Amino acid sequence: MKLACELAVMDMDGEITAVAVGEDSAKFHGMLRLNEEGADIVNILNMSREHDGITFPNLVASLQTKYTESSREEIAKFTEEFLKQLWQEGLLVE
Amino acid sequence: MEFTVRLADVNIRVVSLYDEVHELCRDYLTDGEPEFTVTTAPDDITYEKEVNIREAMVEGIPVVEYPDSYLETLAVYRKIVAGLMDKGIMLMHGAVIAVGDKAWLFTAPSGTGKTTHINLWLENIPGSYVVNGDKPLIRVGESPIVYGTPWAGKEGLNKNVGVNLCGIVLLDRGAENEIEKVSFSQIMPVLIQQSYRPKTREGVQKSMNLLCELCKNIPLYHLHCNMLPDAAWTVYNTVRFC
Repeated sequence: MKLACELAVMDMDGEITAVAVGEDSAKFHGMLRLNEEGADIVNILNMSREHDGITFPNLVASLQTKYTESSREEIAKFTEEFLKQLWQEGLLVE
Repeated sequence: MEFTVRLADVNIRVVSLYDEVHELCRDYLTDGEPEFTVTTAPDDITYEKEVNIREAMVEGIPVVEYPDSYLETLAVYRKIVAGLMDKGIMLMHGAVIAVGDKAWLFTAPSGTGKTTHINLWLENIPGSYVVNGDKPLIRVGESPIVYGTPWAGKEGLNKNVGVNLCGIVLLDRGAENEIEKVSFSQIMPVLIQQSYRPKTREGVQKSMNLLCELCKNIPLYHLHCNMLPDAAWTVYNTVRFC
């Protein structure tokens, strides 16, 4: 899977947000309000977008390097929930 | 074609392929020394064509084919706005109306009724005038200033002035006229949508930083309004004392 458009993640007025970059803003006009985990997931997806995307296991493995105190199952759970929202927004493609 | 325009108190040299952009900028020409130069090439026009097609597809409307000379005017403004960001100046889609030395920016998705509301001001609020009907420039700072530019939408309403920006009003249609002060967080998604979106991630961050700074320094309002003259008075009587 990979992001359907490039997103810029930034702090806006104390909130972590993601907005589409340049011409991609035609595909996604809105913004995402993110927590820390969501921001990390979007950042990884952004980086993998330049290649062929990333698999779910690789995404979870990548997050594990940061969230060392969480189990793989916990990380997989919040990642799956967040990805579901991205799919619903049309922000992910195979 | 080469000429220099003065926009938001900055002199910019424009090197264009067609005359249309020069004609568009006729009220903003200057002999002053330019601070930077924008140059257009056929690729820039192709890019604007692609953007036009993409936007029409997203909005589900037929694609209108514009002449290259018109598309070049869009390309020139895109480059000017990108250059001005480094000087703390940003673009926000919206109509700016002023009374004396105070101005307010009305923003909303297309088709909401910005032009209708602005016309209510012009017809009812003595001394009101349009600074820019569509794409004003804003110098961000403790006391933001909003400027007229030649890029001013279908009606082309603009005035070559810089006026104190005293508030941003998000406009929504409603049966009654109601206005309330809101936080940036409450209307952030729309303000982001209405702000200029550069082509790069770094550019987007710059643009959004300017938006954040702007919204710290001026009041923000959410207006629900109908198309009766009272709509203009409801707003003016609330925002005039800012």
